[in-house]
Parts: sequence; C-alpha cells; structure tokens
Amino acid sequence: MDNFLFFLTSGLCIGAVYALIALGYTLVYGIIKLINFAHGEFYMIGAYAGFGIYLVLPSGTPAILSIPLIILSSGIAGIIIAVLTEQIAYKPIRKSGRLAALLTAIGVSFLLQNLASFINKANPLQYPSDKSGSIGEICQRSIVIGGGGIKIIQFVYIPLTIVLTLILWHIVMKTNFGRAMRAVSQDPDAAALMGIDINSVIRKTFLLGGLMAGIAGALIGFQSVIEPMMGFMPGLKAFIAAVVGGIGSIPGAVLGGFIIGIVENMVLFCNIPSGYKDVAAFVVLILVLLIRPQGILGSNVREKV
Amino acid sequence: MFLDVRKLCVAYGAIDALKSVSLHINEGEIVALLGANGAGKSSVLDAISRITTAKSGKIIFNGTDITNEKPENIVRKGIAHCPEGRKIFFDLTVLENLQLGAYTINDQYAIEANLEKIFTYFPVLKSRRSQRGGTLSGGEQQMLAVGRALMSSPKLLLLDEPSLGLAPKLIDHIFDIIREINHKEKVTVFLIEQNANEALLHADRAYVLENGRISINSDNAEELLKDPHIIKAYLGG
Repeated sequence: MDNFLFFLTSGLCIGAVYALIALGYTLVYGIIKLINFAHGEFYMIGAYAGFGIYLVLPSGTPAILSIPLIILSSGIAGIIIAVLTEQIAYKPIRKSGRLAALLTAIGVSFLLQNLASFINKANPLQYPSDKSGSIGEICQRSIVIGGGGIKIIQFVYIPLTIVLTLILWHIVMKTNFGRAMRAVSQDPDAAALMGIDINSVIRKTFLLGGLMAGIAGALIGFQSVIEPMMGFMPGLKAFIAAVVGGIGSIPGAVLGGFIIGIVENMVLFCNIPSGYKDVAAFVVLILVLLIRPQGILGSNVREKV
Repeated sequence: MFLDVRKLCVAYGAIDALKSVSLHINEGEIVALLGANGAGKSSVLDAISRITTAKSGKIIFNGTDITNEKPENIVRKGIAHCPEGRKIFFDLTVLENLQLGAYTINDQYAIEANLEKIFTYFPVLKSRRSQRGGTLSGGEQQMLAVGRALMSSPKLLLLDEPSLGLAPKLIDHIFDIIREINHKEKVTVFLIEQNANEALLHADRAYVLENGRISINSDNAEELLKDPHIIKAYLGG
C-alpha cells in the first residue's frame, strides 16, 4: 500500500500530458467531426523541435531559461505542423465525407512518422545528462514520493496543463472567436450566415490543438527518448481519453486524460505485469462505451429535426 | 435598383431548382415571394446569401456584383438572411445567439444599441437571454432568428417563412414587427411565404414562383389577393 502515493502522483503527471493531447482531439472533432489521427505526430514533431532548439542554444544557457524556450518552440512547431496539415491535407477533402478525412488523417500520421525517421535516421534522441546543471541532468533529478522516484520536471506538467486548459476554456466560452467556434461546430451554414469565416475558424482550431500537442511533446522529451514512433501510443491513449471524457467536451478531455493516466499506473500498483499497462486504457474505453457511450461528460447527440 | 437578380439558375446535381429567375427589389420595400412547397423559393434566398452557388445568372446588390462573393462577406455588405428552419444555435444562449448575429460589427457600442433595440421589439428574448436557444418555444425561436439577423444592422433582410409553425396570433405579431422594422429602421425586406394571405396583406409587391420560374410579377400585392389564380392556388379559395 505504501507505493500507492507514488503511482497516483505518477499517474496524475502523465495524465496531464494525455489531457493536453486529448484537448486537441476534442477541439478538432468538435469543429469538423474529424478524428485527427495525425495528432500524435504533432506531439512527436513538437518534441523534435524542442530538441532542435536545445542544440542551437549556447551550451551555457541556464535551464531556467532554456526549458521555457524549448517548451515555447515545441508549441510553435506544433502550431506550424497542425496548420500545414489542415491546409494541405484536410481542407481539400473537407466536403468528401468523413471516411475520406479519416483515411487521410491516418495517411498523414504514417507520412509524418516516416518523414521523421527519414530525417533523423531513426536514432532516438535524448537530452544529454552527463554534465551537472545541464537540462538532461536536471530533468533526470527526482524526489522520492511513496517509495518511488518522481522526476522533478514532471511537477511542471499538472500546473501547465491546468493553466493552458483555463486559457482555452476562456477563449472558447468568453471570446468572440470562441462563440464563432461553437457556432461552426453546431451549424456551419448558419455560422457562415453570421459572417463567420469558417476556414479561418477551422485553421485557428488546429492552431490551438497543435500548440498543446507540441507543448506536450516538449514535456515528454525532457524525461524520455525522442523517436519517430513516440507519438503513436500517447496519441492513441489521448484519443481514448477524449472519448472517455466525452469527445467535443473540453473538461471531458482533461478528465479523461487524468483517468487514463491514473488507471494505467494503478495497473502497476496492483502488481500486474507492466506489459499490460497499455491495455488498461483500452479496457477503460470499452467499459465507458458500454455504460455511457457519449463519454463521462459528453452530451447526447441530438438528432436534427 | 437595390437588389437585382438576373436570370438566376440554381441546380442541385442534375435537378434544376431555379430556371432563369429575374426579380428586383427597390430600397425600402417589402417584397414577398410566394409559391408552393418545392417551387424553389428558398433557393432564391440561399443564392443571394451565397449558401448555395448559382449555376448561372447575376445577383447585383447596391451596384456590386455579389454572385460569387464569399458567404461570410455577404453580411458585411448589408444582407442578413434568416434561413429556412431558423437555424438558431441550440447549445448557445439567447444572448450568445444575438451576439453572433453582430459578429461582423466591431463597435461594442453599436452592438449594445442593437441589442437594446431587439429587446424592445422582442421583450421575451430579454427575459430569456441566459437560456439556451434550444429551450425556447417555436415562436420564441423565430423571434430569436429574426432578432439575430437584425443584429448585423442589415440594409436588406431576407426572411424564409417567418410564419412557419406559429400560432395565428403570433403570425400577426411577427408581421407587425417586420413592418415596424421596415418602416422605422429603413430595412428593406424580401420574404418567402407559404402563408400567401398574410404575406400579401403586408407586402408592397409580390412575385409568384412556380416550378423554378417566376409566373406572376405584381406591382400591387393587395391586388393579388383578388386574383382568381392566386386564390385558387394559394389561398384555398
């Protein structure tokens, strides 16, 4: 029982990252009803971009400066790749039906994974931790909670996710742009009649999603290896988180992210072999789909009259 | 001419909805477009507000060709469309629906002034402003749809069946307000109606659309009320 606190903390921290990625799924789905399977790759590219900035920064840059810079540039890279993907791959087929869009998203996902392996020769990257005071070393430092070591950097995840979610919530619920987003999500034709430029709203929605996926990539990059396939599993789990919470719902995505993060760590807590950890998210998904198909905070889909 | 529609053709796939429709509207008028279900009335409005693309023909508004204008720019040119089926945003509050109507206006004071004006026309919207649009009754939704269209300070208001599904008393009320808006706010009104009787009572002029073509073009709407063809076809005489 003494390990419980460790696994709970660990689950909350990784859950915060899932939540950040899940927000992008939920935003994009809310607005164009597309499950953007390339979203995990936005996260992967964010991680690479952060590492790229790290290489460019002078070697003596203090971590207090370089860590925010890396997070920022990962976010920008996430924005760029998300907006480019929308403009090049999704926009031309927007009227071709949801299946075409879904297949395109899977295609983009494969394309970005392979592009990353092509450019980086599939060598996993990691922030070097040989020198004391370097980013890699700082990010590997940990403190003991409940009998296990939690990396210090992980304590950034939860507050960052909360702040970003609150900003996003404010944008969606209180601003003119957010109202336009919700209008497009409900009825694009009626939104156009209001003078809303639908293409611009969709572009900005991808921008927000890409930003958060990129930032999530930077966070995981700090504590783990960066490689072309790194977006696949977290992307899938964040997608599950969005569905579990109720796809289209912002609080749902955050709740789903934390649930998935905690559940998979509870699997480890219960001494189930760690190989089953990834199964946990799918079990939660199946249970939620059986009991409450619209997701925990999702609203019932209203039939159009 | 304020609005000039010339030889407008609209097709949905292989089906021709409009076959060379020409009509015009002068500034300050209330013009009605009558016709049976499926005659193509909504297609005329949809083509003007660019929800639908014209196959051929021209639409000139205030001297500019808007036939191929982007839909989101039509509102900015001064045309507000209150569409078929109202299309209010169910999950947004009444206030948010109205604010979206003023999406193209940047001046916060102008938005507030419009809001006040709409609340005086439709006081029920004021008392329901924090309620979600989907919880309103049919009549209230219609008022919200008209109010939302007026929020953009339009010069031309396109109304698609404002009386649809409303109780007779409410129909009178809506038409009274349409006349008031036309008179006081100098908003030109182009409306579609199946309720020919009510529409002809309030309109200055009227067109009748049959199978995608204009069959009657009358300079005096009230005279149409006595037209035997109209009585037979639309007034149940």
